[in-house]
Amino acid sequence: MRYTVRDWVYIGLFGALWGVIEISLGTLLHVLLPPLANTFFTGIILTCIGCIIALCSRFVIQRRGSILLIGVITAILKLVSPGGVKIGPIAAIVMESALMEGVLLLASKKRAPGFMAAGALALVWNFLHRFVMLRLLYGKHFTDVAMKMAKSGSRSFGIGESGITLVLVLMLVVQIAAGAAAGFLAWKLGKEIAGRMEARGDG
Amino acid sequence: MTGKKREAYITPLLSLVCLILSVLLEGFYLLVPVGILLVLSLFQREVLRKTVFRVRIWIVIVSPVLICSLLMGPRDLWILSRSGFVIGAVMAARAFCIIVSISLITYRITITDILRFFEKRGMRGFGLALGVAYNMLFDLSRRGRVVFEALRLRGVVRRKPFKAVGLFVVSVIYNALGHADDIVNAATVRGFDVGE
Repeated sequence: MRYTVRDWVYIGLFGALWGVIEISLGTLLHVLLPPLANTFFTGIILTCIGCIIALCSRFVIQRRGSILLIGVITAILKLVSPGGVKIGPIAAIVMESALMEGVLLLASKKRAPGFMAAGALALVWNFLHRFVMLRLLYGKHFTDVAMKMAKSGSRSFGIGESGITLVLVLMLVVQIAAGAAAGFLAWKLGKEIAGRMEARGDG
Repeated sequence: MTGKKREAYITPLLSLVCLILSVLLEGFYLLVPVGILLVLSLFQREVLRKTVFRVRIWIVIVSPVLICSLLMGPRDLWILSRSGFVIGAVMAARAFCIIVSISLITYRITITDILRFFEKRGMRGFGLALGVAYNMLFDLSRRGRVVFEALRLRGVVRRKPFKAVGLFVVSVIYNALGHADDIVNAATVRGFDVGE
């Protein structure tokens, strides 16, 4: 499928929108929230906004692969932006956009459930991302240390080992719900934008 | 090849080798890539500022040493464990290598390099999208501020905060799409072709 000049410019526009959020709000949230404790909230906020922007684009750029390209553009913008080491966010952005693209390819028609599933899956990756990145960063010992930390933490709080699983499941459920809500919002807003464009005569 | 050019290639190449070594090596052998990367980063002030001099990076590096010393193995060193300390040090060395080598590989990459890379490989469309995105970054934040102020002055932000979020997103995107259309028209009248 051949992309037109308009498609590429729109891809650049949505990439810039996601990039602005990642660079400005992302930096602000990383400063506001303490390191190693901010993954949950920062991740949810940034991924939800990213999902809304990327999924909205499907109503404007009706081409396969456009969401993945938007993700790649955002990742490149993040790479060249000022700031420290950003390999984690870059990997997360590309993976999330690939997952959203995959779901929308399977869903084919622009219906709310497809968008909600795409958003939810992107947030599921956000949940797994920290574990994958820490395993890559610290190597094979990370799993042993994490298990020990979980056991020790559960003893300290007196909640038992099953309590840790419960907390993790709860976190995952919150992320899935947030992702589905972001997907639904993207579907609604995307329809509104498409409606406005149609009324203007470029739909 | 001039000295500057050679340096531009050697540092990222050595860093890449260290990155691979840090993934493959275990135990005290990790000191080799750590040493090389420390020497390399000493010559790159920007990398030093972004990695070695940052508290956040030190938290990432020091925390496994502390956690492992406290949790892993028998406590034969006051409340700490000697074997745990070694495991933590190995994890910290690996993390240090990955963080510093990636910084050394990427710190010189500019948007112009990336655009040139895609242009040379005939991916003009992607280059155009990236150029548009980079140039629109500041414009979009300005447009966002204007839309937010307009909504705030009309009292929507205070009275209907949830509706304001939707209105904000739609207005910013719709506004930016108008600007994107101008770019498309400018490219079209100049005969710009994205190729296959």
